[in-house]
Amino acid sequence: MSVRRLLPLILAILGSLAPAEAAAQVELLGTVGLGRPVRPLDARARGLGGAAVVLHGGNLSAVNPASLARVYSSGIWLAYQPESRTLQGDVASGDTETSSFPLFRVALPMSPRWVAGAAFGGVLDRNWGVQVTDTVSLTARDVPFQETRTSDGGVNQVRLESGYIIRPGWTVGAAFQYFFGESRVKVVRVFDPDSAVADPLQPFASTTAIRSSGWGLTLGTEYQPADDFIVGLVASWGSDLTIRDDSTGAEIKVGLPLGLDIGASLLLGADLLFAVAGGWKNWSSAGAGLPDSGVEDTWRVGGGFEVRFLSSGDAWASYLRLGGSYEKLPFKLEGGSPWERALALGLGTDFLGGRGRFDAAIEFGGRGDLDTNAVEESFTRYTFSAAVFTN
Amino acid sequence: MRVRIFPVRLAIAALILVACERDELVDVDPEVAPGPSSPTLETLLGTNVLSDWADTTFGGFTRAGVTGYIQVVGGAPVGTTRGLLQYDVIEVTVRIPGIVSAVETYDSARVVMEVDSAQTFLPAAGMMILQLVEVQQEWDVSATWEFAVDTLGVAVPWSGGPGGSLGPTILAEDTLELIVTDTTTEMPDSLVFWLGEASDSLLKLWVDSLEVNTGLAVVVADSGHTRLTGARLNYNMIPVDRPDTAVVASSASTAGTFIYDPTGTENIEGILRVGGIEGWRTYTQFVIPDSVPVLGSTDTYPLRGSTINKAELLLVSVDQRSPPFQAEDPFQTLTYELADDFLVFGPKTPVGNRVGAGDVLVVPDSIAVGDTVRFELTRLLAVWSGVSQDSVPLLRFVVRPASAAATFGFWEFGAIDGDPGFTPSLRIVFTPPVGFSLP
Repeated sequence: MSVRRLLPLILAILGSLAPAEAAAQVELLGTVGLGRPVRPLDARARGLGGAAVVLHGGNLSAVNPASLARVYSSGIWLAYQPESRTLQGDVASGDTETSSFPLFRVALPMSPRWVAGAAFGGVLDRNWGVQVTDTVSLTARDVPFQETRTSDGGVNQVRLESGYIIRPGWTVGAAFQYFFGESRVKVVRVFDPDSAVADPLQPFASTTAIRSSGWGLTLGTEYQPADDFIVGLVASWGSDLTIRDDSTGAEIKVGLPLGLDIGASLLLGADLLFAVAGGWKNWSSAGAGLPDSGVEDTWRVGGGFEVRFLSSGDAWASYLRLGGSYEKLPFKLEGGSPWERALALGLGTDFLGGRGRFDAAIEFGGRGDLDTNAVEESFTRYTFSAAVFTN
Repeated sequence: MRVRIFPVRLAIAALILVACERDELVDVDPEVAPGPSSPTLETLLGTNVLSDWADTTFGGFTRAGVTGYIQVVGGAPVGTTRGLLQYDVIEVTVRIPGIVSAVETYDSARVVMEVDSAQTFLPAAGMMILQLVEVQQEWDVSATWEFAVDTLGVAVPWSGGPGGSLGPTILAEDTLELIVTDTTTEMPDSLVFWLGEASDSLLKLWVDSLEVNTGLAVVVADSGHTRLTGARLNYNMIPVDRPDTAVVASSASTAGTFIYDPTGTENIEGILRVGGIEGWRTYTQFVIPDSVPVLGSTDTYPLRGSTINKAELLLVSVDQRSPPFQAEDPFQTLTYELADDFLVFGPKTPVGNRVGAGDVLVVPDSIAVGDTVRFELTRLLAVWSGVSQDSVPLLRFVVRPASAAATFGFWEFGAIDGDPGFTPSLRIVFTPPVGFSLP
């Protein structure tokens, strides 16, 4: 498939997913700091506990730009991620659902050794919404009202990336990232929401847009000393993220963290793969730029197994995955920064001789701890990704 | 290529559709809810806080001739009211099968009127006598108690003195009294004034184009109060060519009004009026400070730039004057912005957009002395709140009856120069803008 033929499709997809937002999404954990970090992973990596630094059989997540060098034909892929959450807390509880497109990526081999690519993905999720029911006491009467406070949007990234094969078994890659995004923060108060009264109060609404911009650089490498083993390393760094409030013109600059990720992929047999990855980000350096400093460095570890259980030569194959992850979130709640833990189950298939691929993952997990953080969120996260390649 | 791309497009379309799911909000304790907010506050501003306050009343916008009803009152200490009717269209030719003939005689003429029982108040005797008399001077619908014609700078007084130039002869009479049965008591729904022997001469006088049609007056003989509508003149015509035949004809009145004594009242210092005939309107202006104190707090809050949830002019009802000018019927009021200074242009001040979100119903029966009637100003203040803070606009508006013709009389409220216990004030419920903060 040529780039010219792919372009209209790419533009259509970008237009549909750009803000990666859903109306009035709720996440109390997302109300603190800059929001909740989002990783641009596909469903295969999700099914393997987030291990996305290196993978046998094609690593489509936008984590390690060196992985691009192992894409041998032009292709595009997309991930979609709905999530159901149940919140428990001292002051809030309820169920909510969110959805986003954490990853869209294209790859274009320019030569047998060099692959160029571009990706669009999430960085920080600031989608949340709460509802308050209260009464305002006026001289004429007590007026019940319902107020919603919502934030929709976040920070996204566009990556221009490239992977290069230095020699068989050793690839390197680099990605230039432009971070941008907008969160529309809105407060709406409706009086007498459940009844029609003779002297209604006019509703109140106030809104602002919080815009963010900055840039970053990611360098990565993959080393494959043997056919059944790959190890990879990724380092990322960002400039200051400029955050500006449209309504007041106030502006702050937050230093984006330095990040290091390391991972390995090991073939334990013809049909069994094990992948693992860990990472660190010095988010605490961003605390100086935030009005309410409450940021800690984050750690992440995850891994999983992949079994090929049905196949028909090179025509198609099916995979089953099982993984888990444990991750510290950067922005503090009461009692410190919360941890996220998840168990993952994945299913995938490639077909048309590897020219098409579909993966799905479901993760069961939780964030925070009711005793420690006064709030706890259990979630079920689904990830679906689809990819198509030319010959 | 088409085969390869189609499944991708299908998958993307499906994904986008799935993304359009409904998300729900989490209920949070209002005391500790995360996220930005702003309180809703209430302020009550007296005329001492609102600078440049001025108020006044103008009346005389609507004459009785446009009402469509005729009010007649008699026996009250003040407020005698008389109805005037005119019939210019009287048939002069009889057309029946086979015959077209001039009228030889008019016979059995009678004026039939419908009674508005809700506006009828009988004296203690339980009956009131109404009489029909001839008016002896030309008049039009601008007629007042003092003048037969009072319009466009032309004022022609009644030749017989105030109250109309009425003929000495009572042409007809009818009695309005309750119809009492074993189980019910009802007001009659119509009155019929039979002109009797005067029928022929009177109608021939009216059809004579050389004579001015001066019409009839309806007066109360003793005491009582009623409102009449749909006055029609019914009569029989006897053709020249067939004197043994009577043909019935009917004419609607071509002019009708009522005159009353006294003719309105002058403005009284310290009093504001809103009401119907003669169309009483209250004009007000003031300047609102940018920051205001709020109830329950010693702090002041910025009003300019806030969302105005509710704004009302509070007028306090004073002791009402005697009938007939004290409004008895409920009436709707509307509030309009003024396009210019009423202190300069007076009653001719141009009116701008309507202000109130809803009409205010003044219900006389339910308003006691000292009660407050609230007139909606939310839209006016919402516009004020949104304009540049560099300007200090003077807010001007008028409260007027929705239909001055629908009711008679007015309701009175305290003005700024009246009893301090009855002065107007302004109530505003507002929410200052949210102070959004960066993460």
